[in-house]
Amino acid sequence: MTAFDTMKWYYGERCLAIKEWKEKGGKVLGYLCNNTPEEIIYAAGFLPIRLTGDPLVKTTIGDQYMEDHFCPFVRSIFDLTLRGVFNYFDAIVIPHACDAIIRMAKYLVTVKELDDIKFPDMYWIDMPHSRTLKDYEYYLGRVIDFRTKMEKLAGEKISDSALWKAIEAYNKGRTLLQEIVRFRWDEPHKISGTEALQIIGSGLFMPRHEHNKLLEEFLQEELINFPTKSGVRVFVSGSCMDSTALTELIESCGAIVVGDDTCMSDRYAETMIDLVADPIEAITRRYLFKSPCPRVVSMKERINYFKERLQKVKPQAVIFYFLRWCDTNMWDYVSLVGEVKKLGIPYYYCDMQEYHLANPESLRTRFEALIESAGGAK
Amino acid sequence: MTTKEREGVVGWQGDKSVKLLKCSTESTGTMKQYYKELHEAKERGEPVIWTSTFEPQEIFRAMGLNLFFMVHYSALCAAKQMSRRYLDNLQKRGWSRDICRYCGQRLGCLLDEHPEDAPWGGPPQPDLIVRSSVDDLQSKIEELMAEQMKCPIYIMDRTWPIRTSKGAWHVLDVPDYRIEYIVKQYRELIGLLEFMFHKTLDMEKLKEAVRNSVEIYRLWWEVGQLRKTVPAPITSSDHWPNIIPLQFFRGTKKGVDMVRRYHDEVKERVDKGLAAVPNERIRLMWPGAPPWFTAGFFNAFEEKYGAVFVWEVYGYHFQEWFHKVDAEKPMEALAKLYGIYSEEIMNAPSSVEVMVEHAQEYSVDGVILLLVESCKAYSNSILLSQRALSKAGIPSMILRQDIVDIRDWDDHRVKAQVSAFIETLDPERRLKRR
Repeated sequence: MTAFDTMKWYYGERCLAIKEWKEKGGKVLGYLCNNTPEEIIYAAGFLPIRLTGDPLVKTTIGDQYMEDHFCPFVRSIFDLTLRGVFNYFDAIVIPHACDAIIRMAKYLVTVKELDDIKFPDMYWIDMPHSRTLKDYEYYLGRVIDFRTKMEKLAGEKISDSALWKAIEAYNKGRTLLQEIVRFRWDEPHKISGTEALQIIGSGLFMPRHEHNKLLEEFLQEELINFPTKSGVRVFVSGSCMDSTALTELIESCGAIVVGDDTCMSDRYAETMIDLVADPIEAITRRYLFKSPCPRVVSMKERINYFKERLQKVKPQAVIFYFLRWCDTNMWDYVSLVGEVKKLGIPYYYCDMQEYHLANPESLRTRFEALIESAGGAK
Repeated sequence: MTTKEREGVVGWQGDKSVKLLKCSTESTGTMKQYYKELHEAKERGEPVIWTSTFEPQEIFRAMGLNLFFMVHYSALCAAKQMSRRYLDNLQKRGWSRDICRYCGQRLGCLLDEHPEDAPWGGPPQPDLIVRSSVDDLQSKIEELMAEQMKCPIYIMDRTWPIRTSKGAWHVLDVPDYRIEYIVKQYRELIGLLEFMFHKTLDMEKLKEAVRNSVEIYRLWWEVGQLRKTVPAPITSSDHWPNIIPLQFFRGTKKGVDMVRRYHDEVKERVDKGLAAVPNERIRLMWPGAPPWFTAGFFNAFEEKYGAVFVWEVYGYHFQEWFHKVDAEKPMEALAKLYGIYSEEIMNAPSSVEVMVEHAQEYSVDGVILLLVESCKAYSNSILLSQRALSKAGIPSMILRQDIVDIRDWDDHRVKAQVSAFIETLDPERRLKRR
């Protein structure tokens, strides 16, 4: 099996690495969102695995507790947690991300008390929206606290050298992933948007060292032989993409998704950890000051980031794809589209989308029209 | 287009409420006068700060700064039937119809082509906007407003615990690091205000402002105790106008006087055994903000069903410990009052606990849980609350409606839904529960 095929396999079979790690006697922690400092979990000897939902499972259990005016991606994870799907995790970690994720954490605690539903122990990490010195100092305290909690769970201290080793592994991963991201921009295009999601995303479902090896093998030996792709260069902006359904649809319309600003793709690869004196300070700096997601204050930081991404990626068309009640993105939209208009790039906006790709043929018609307006396939 | 149409005032314009207290009928006039004075202050060249209710108003008051309350203006725009037009302004510019409407409509107001139509002279030009990130969105909306008004903005952050402790809303038991973070931001804010407006904060004045607020909260809490009386001395129609001093005159002597009048009038009714609804039969809870565009909604079920609303949002936000904070340590007191508490009380599991406990204490027959899709800050834990209430034997219904957007309000349908719910309620059940 090639390195790419292996990554694709792990991306699809998200429990694979968990089984392997557990067979060796290790503990596995499920976590949400790019705001979880994976390095600390990894340094504690645990395997961090990203929690994702399942668009094919109806959220019938979760719907008894969580209202449908919350993001369907979060509702799916909430539902799976209550179904016991994540009970093979030794614990789950939820960071302060968006309003829906906060509610998921608070609801889980309440459901446990109300109806005694069992799910793994939950660890919460608070994180400010703002990114000034006072916020850094507050967040540093929360990261130190998280280290202590992980030490307690591990039953031993997490040494600074273990943290540095984890930082080294994750930084190496980021360097390699950034190469993948850059290959997406460059012509001739070797990596499609769908492949990029599989390559980057697979790292969230397997040990970092192993993923790094696969990335190296892929970049050094396989990429050169990858078939060249052509199509209208599309940039996707929006909510979390934890499957390839959207990129596959877009790319089937004569386009290639050359970049995005989503958290399980390009944005995950960004922002290295600076090697400052203390590893916890280094981790805190990275996670607080990393590429901004839509929940960050100030909003201008996100808009500037989006602008820079457009300048780098140079797309011919932009698709805004927001899940239902992804309020942060919906509020940013007018500013974001303003930047797209300034560049004279055609765009298409779909908000209030279901978690599963509902009505794909209707979207296909619109994407085809967009791609045609950008000079692409007819 | 007629003037009325341009103002967004078309079709049904809401029901008028029936108020029993003198202070209730006067509160609108007081607020209108406040706006007039605010505009006059602006004209004199005095600075005006836009802020809201999760911010330490006492600091501004102690520094003699003029305050414009964005959240009040949202309610006012809705009451004046302007929300339709202001929300349409947002949609015309590309924002989704499903964005937060309560907070969003005031941006729609600022984007309007005819500012002269804005209620009560419109918002005066701000010199600074100060906002606390109660959720992901409010700071974004305020950033957009600051951009529109070409003024600086200072955004404060908050601390989010998941579960402090069971019954955490009864006693504020939070770790010091949370207080310290909030106090640090308040100090930064004070530095900014001193620098921008060439004023120095007098700590004694700040203590006095906190003492005033403590007295406001004490009186408010006592009104809450009086409202447990059966039959109810007042209805929600007298509650809503009286949140004005509680929310917008904190830290001031005027605020204390206003809440005292409210307290005294309610107490007098209790002492005299006066019932707000003579045929009181059903007692209801409304744990949400009201539909601001139809103040009379809460009186609609009195005559036919003897149904009275005895408990609302703001009834439970201000717990007994609020008037026991130490005014001699004003910064810490303010952090406790405004920087930390809402994350507990406005969310599960605390909001669920308080609802069940208060439904019992206020001898409630049924609870109407308002689900405002576009507002996650106020509309969360609805299903959890319903489940907990059900376990405690207290019936509830979910009403899916917006509080400012009249576009989706079908008055007959909403009243029919609530009536159908009331018809299922049996006061005997409440008595057995007790």
